[in-house]
Amino acid sequence: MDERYDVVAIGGGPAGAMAAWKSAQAGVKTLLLERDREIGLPVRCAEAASTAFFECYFKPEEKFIANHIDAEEFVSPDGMAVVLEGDDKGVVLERKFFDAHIAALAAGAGADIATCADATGMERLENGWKLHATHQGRPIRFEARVVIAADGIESRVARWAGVDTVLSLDDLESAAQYDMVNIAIENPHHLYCYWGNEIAPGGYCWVFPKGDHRANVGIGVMASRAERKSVKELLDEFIGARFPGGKAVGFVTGGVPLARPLKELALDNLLIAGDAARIVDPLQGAGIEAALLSGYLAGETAGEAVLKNSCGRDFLKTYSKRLHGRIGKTLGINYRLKNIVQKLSDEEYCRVAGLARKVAPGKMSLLKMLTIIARNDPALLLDLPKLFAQTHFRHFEK
Amino acid sequence: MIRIEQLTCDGCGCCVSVCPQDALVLDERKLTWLEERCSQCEDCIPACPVAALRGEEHG
Repeated sequence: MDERYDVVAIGGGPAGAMAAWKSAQAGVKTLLLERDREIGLPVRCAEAASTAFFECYFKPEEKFIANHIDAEEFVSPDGMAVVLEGDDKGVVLERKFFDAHIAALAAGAGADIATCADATGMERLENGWKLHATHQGRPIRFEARVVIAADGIESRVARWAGVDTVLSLDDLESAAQYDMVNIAIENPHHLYCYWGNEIAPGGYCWVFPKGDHRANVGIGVMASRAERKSVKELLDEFIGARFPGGKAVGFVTGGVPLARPLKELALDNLLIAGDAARIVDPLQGAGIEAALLSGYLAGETAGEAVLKNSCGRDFLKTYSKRLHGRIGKTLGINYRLKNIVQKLSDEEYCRVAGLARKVAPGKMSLLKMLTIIARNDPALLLDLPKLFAQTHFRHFEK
Repeated sequence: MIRIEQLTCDGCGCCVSVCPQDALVLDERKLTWLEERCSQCEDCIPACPVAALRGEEHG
């Protein structure tokens, strides 16, 4: 590690690693900082994603695909399932290999990578930032012309620069998950989401198969509704009732920001990407696709800014514009939908599911399901088609 | 004051994300509570997935 970099990406998840890759590819001196000992671990993620989304960035490799998915089942509180067979086929990832793969691409393009490297603060310089960090326990300092804040749910780097990234308890999904084996899954190529106010208030439990008898089993609960029991206790009850013979080989907790995206994602010498930018899809809690897209655009913009010697907000804000242009509308609509879904009573969940089940098998789409959910909100209903009209991030054109 | 059960805390950062005062800090995944910054809003308590945070009266 040196004392001066053109671009420093803070956070070795998909957003930061992708940003470091694109920035290094632009030919500028790049560093990727990861707080944990190893890129990709711990896996604080349910790991499901659509197949198409990363193929525009790099070739899928067997090692980071645990399972192929052809449908999604929403199980309502009465135990009945609605099967959604989307156009996009999905995968369950092995995030530890997936993240490591992107970091390797960054390294291959010339980026330096430091693990056990925890940023602790930063100070403004005339044309950049002075970063303070600990690296393998020792304090270090270095300079960056552009910082890419990809530090996930905590989003402290942007806070140091003066951006309010604090989440309200209504917009935080508090989550926990097990890596489980020895469980029987009805269809190992379906994703299962279990809804209901007893099971997971303001959220859902998921069972995402990673093989015939293995799955990522987890729960997300709206933090403002976590009352009697902890999120982990609710997950244990869910598993006890459905998979009594299951064995956990791993446990981890996490948080998912289900908020409106930050309005301003670019400041002087700073870009915000991934979960730190609050660009997780608020309806489903999916964040990997948006993280990769934001990392791609942030890395590209930062590289160009350095080469043009134009690292101020005036140039960097093209990143904010491009990202909001791609996914801003979708995220805004899904945020409104989320606020409706989180308030449904169990009876309403069952009623929506009942209406959805009347649609012929194989004909149920996410749009139809959302139309049923939003039926009492005419303004929102009118906006729904825009969800699918906007250039979607998974069909990202380079 | 906020008490942290260090053996229960998984270092996930949920509490950090909701703290309006930056009074919770995860350094190298170890959570620290900074009393002088805390405004006692206690939003961090329900944010924790494993109930590792507790509010306690002084003394």
